Amino acid sequence: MTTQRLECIVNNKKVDIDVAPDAILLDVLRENLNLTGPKKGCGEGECGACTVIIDGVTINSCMYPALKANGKEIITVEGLSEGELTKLQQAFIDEGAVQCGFCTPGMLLSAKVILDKYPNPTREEIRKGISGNLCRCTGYTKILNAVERAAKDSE
Amino acid sequence: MGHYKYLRPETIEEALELLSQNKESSILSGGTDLMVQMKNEIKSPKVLIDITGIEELQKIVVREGVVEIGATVTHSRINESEELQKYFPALVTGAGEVGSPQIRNQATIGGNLVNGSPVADTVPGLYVLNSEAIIVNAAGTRRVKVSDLPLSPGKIALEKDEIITGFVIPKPKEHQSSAFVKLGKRKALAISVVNAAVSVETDPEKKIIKDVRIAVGAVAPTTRGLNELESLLKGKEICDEMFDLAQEKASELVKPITDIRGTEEYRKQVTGALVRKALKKAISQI
Repeated sequence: MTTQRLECIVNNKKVDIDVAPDAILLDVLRENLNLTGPKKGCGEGECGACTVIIDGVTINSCMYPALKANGKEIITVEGLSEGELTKLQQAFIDEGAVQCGFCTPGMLLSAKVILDKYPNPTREEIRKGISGNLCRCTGYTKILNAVERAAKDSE
Repeated sequence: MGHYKYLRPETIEEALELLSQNKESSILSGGTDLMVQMKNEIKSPKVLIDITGIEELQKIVVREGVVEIGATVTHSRINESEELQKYFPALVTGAGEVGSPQIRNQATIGGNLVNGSPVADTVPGLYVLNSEAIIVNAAGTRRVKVSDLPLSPGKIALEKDEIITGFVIPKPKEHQSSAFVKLGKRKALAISVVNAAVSVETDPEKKIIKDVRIAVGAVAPTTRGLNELESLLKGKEICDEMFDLAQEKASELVKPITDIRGTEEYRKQVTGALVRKALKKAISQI
C-alpha cells in the first residue's frame, strides 16, 4: 500500500516522514522515531501505558491512527525534560513512585497535564487525572505523593 | 487488523463525496470504539474517513432556545463546558463518566451515539433532553429525535450515505433540570452495569411533577425510554411515595439480560435505585 506523508511536531522537533496509511501512532513513535517511552500494554485504551500528549491533552496512542496526528503537536515522556529532570520526574524518584517502570511514562504525562491545569491539585484531582493509567506493581499512593510533592516543589 | 486507507476531509461536502466514492468505508471520529473493533476484526473497513478535521463539526453554539453541539465535540469538552453544565447536567455528567481522561479527550459525542452501544453514557442524556440529531447526505439535511435512532446493539437508523453532523438540544425551561447516574464496577474505565438519565419539570413551588423524561441504559438492546413510568409520574406530588413508586415501576418495566457485569435480577433492582436517585438529583437542582 502506498505511504502517506505525516508532518507533525514531536517533542518540539519537526517530523516529516512517510508512513503506511494504516500505521498506528504508537508504532510510529516507537519504530520510526525510536521513542520507546510510550509502551504497548493492552492495545485498546484500558491501561494508559501508551499515553502521549497531543495538542495539550492526553490520548491513548495505541488506538490513534498515525495520520490523525498530521499538523499536531505531540509530547512523549522523552520530551518532558531538556537535559535536567523536571521537578515532576525528580519527585517520582524521591517518593519511590517507580517500581517496574512500565506505567511511568504514561503516569508522568497524565501528571504533567494535571499540574498544568491545577498547579495545586487536590488528592481527588490527581486521582481523577491518573484514572486512565494502570499501575500493577504497588498501587497508587506513592504516585499520588509524588505529584503532590512536585506541586509543592514548583511553588 | 486489516489494511485501510486514511482520508481526512476538511468540509462536510468533501466527506459526503468520499463516503459515496468508497463503498467499504467508515466514518472515523475519536476512534476509541472503532479502532478497537478493527483490531479485534469485528469491523474491517477498507477506508477510514476522519471527520475530526472538519471545523464546523467541532463547535458548541448557544442560540436562542437551543444549543447546538457538533458531532466531533469530545466528551472532555462537553464535560468542561460551563454553558453545557448550566443547561444540561444529564449530558455533562454522562460525558464525564465515559472511560478515562485519555478516552474522553479522544471520544466524541457523535461517535458515542453512532457506535450504537446499549450502555453508551451520553445517549440517555441526549434522549431525555429531547435532542435531535442533524443528519446530512448529498440530497440534504434531516433532523431526527435521538430517541428514534438506536435500533439494536451496534446499529442506529443511519443510512450508509449519511453523516451525523451534530445535535440540537432545547434549553431547559425555568423549573426544569436533568441528571444522570451510573453504576459501574469501579470509578474509572467502567462500562455501565446500568445507567439512567432523567429530565424533570416541576411547578414553580416544586410540589408537582409537570413533565418528566426517563431513559435507562444497559438493560435493553438499546437505550430505553420508560414512557409508561413517565405518564404515571406526570401530575404527581413530589413526596416519598412518588419516589417509591418511580423506583418500583422502573424495576418492573425493564427486562435486562444476565451477563458478566450483572444478573437480570440485580440489574432490575439497580435500575429502580438509579431512576430514584436521578429523579431526586434533578429535582434538587431546580
